[in-house]
Amino acid sequence: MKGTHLGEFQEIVLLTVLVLGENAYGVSIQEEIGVRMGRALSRGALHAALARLEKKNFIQSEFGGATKERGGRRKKYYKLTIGGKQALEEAKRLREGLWSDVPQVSWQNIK
Amino acid sequence: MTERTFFGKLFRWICKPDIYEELEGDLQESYRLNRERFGANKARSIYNKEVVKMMRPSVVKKPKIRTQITTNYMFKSYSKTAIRNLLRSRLFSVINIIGLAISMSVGLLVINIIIDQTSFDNFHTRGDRIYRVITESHYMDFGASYLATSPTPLAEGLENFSGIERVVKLRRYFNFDVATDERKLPMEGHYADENFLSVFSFKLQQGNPETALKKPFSLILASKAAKKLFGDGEAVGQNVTVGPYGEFSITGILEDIPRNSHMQFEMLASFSTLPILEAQDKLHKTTTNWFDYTSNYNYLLLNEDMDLGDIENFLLSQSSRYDEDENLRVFFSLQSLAEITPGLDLSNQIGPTFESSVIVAFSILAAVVILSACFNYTNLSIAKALRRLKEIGVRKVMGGKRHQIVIQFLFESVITSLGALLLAFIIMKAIQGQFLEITRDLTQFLAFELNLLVVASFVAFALFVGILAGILPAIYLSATKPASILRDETKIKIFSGIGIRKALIVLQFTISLIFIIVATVANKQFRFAINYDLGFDRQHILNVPLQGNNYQTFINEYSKFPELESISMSSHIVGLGTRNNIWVKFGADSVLSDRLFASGNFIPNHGLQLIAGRTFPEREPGESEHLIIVNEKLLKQLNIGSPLESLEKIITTSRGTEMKIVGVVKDFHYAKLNQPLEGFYLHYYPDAFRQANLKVRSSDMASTMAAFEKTWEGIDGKVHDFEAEFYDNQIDEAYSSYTKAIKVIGFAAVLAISIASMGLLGMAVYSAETKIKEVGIRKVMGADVSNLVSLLSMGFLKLLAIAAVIAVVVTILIFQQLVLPEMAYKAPLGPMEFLIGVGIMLAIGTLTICSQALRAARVSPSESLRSE
Repeated sequence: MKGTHLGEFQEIVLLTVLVLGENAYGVSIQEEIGVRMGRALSRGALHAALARLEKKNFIQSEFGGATKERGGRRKKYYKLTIGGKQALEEAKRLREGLWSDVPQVSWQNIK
Repeated sequence: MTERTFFGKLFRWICKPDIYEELEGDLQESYRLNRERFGANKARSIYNKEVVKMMRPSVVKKPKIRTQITTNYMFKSYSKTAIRNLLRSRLFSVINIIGLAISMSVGLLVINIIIDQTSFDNFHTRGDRIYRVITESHYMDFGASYLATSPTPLAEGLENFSGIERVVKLRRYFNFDVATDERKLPMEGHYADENFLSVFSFKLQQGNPETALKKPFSLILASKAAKKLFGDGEAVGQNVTVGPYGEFSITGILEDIPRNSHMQFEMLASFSTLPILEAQDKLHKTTTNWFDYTSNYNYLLLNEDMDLGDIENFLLSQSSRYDEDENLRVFFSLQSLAEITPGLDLSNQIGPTFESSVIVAFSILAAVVILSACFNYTNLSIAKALRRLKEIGVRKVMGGKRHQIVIQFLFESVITSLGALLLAFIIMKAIQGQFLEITRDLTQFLAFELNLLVVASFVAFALFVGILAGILPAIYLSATKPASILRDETKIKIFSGIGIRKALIVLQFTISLIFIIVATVANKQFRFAINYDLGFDRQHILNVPLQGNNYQTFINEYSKFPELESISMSSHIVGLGTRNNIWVKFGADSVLSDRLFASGNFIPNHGLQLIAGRTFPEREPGESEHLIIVNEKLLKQLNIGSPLESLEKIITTSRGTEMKIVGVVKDFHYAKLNQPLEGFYLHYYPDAFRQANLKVRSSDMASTMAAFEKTWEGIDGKVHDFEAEFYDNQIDEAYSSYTKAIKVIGFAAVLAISIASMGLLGMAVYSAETKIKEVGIRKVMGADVSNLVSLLSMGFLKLLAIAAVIAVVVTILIFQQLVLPEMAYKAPLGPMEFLIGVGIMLAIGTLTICSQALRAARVSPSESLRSE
């Protein structure tokens, strides 16, 4: 079903939001993913992913405090919803299922 | 902050309002982070890229004019009608696309240069706070000199100035042969003090940036240079011998210098070496001398919120240091790092720079050609508009708003210009190589890279040109009233602009003709200069730079060749523009005289004529009497008397050297022809010999040169390349500014004339088509083809004649008032150059018009009159 499908990049974003905990907002997510993936991620691409996740009700957002660095603009913090948690679990289960069914032989034969 | 920049505003404009606060806040926070990491320039560029990447459906707000469906529908309708219209009048479209493409290719080139040049020095993290002290000096009434250098003692005052974080002291010309135990290589570099590495962002691969340039006789190498010297071996910690200055120890390896740096170097010596070398008299004193403001540089790193005014006031107050010399006035000011290149035309630059004035000149050239092509578009659109008036009338009656008709027309012009962009890009790629050849340093200096910014600018430029070309016809045609169009279209005064259109054609051809004439005149001056009798013999002379080798060894080795007729030595090559002058005094008279250090057989070798006295005798080493041979002009300027009287007289230089006249030589051209002949003397001074002048006669030049090169390698030990050049070629090269001018102006002439003739072609086609009925009736009444051709083309030929007259007058004025008075020896303006230019233009113009007139006149009247 299209509504609950979790793309690979979206999965990474969801996990990053979890990793950052209380401090998950645009810049911190962008930086964290950038560091972990080793390449720059544009804020525009991140926005597209966040907007889709929010539309699927996997995350919810609320405004935080304004700071001087941001020219007096408020931060928008993201956190996971139950739906997001379930989607991650689903994705993890799928992957673990696949991993556990990979026969040792066919894994070791790849050289 | 960022939201006030162009991209900031763009983002605010395109972004959905409900997410703008979050996204702009994030972008701005990232901007601040990046500014701390990479510096303001890089941060801004990241910000701009981020904004460009925001162009996606989830961020961009929907146009609120109409619903998506109507907009799409209208868009489709506009493009469909536009393409149909373009296809209907294919010839006009092709003329427009080619004309726009040719002119836009120049525009693209200029855009590329501007983008490339503005990227210079943007890798310095603290670049926005780096400034250079520059000097303006006036000596007597010789006019002002503007210098990139400033005196080193100035640094002390600046270091104590609160608000300046660090001062970097530099001196150029650390160009020497660097020798390890195994090899010896010539290298170029500067002296720099220990602040250099902390102020500029050149990265050290090895070594400590704080101390690498601290101790005297420390040396850091760029990694390429280190590889050349040491291969893959360890370089840091090694000692090398540098030219005449002895041992230097290598304290660091730099990453290679980025291409877009205004300083280029292979090595840096510590500035603290200088006072020691100066104390040993190995270098002239600059570090303590206020009056030497031509050797050294001062770069400043300012504090974050420093007021430039305070520093500038301080710098101005330093002018009082020069009060003791009443003939000299010196002023210091600041130049920011970004303004260095493209920037002012300063002398003593530390590396190659691009003058802003050149960019402005190119931009103007591009603007002229682009405007010319836009004129064509406007011209043709209005001309063919008669056919489209009904369409406009019907659109208006059906409820079309004026702005929709304007958009319709702009769609056409923008589609044309986008089509032209593709072609322009291809043309640009083709001319780019030619352009780079204009100057040798351009190749390493300019890179035509295609990045996102360049491509985006190209597209924006095409849109701009499209709108510029289409806006006039759009506004003009959309203003017509439907009732009058539909009632009787013949009564519309659509051609009220006919005068303007004729004026435009005249203007286009005038500009083309001016370019053509200027190119031919420049060509004539070039021929004149290279064939001019300079008063000395330069045939068969091969000049070889000694590059530090002993001149006596050189003579000994080369004298073995039977092909060598004679050999002389000199400090530089005369007639190429290099000059060395000094104030000399005789009795009460003193004058600024040119000089050349030369050996005795320089005079016979170059066929110079001695009027009195003799050439320099062969002398034993150790004899220190200064002997000179003067030219006639110097005798006159110093009032010494007749050539015979002048022998054995003593002349004194401003440095106190006493020199005895042993001969007088007939005047010859030691300088370039745009400079007048002044006083000049030859001075026998072997220490200053830098060039060997070999007179060679050989039936097989190629093998002689190969043998010469082999001998050179024996003398030089394979450190320097054999750089022999024939004198004639050097003279050609010295006047290459003419060939460059001929290339650039000639290219502009080709552009201008092709655009102008295409415009003319369009007009001729149109005029032939509208008069087709008249031609038919005249033919029936008995007119023959020649009558008809003259009827159809007379009007245009008159325009060409007017253009020719204006252009000739304007060029004569330009040359007589501005160009020729600047040159001391020049070829006079003859009628030939003008005749050639006018001939070319008339031939092209007449061919264009007559081809169309002839076609129209040949149409059978039964064809043209049959249908109504």
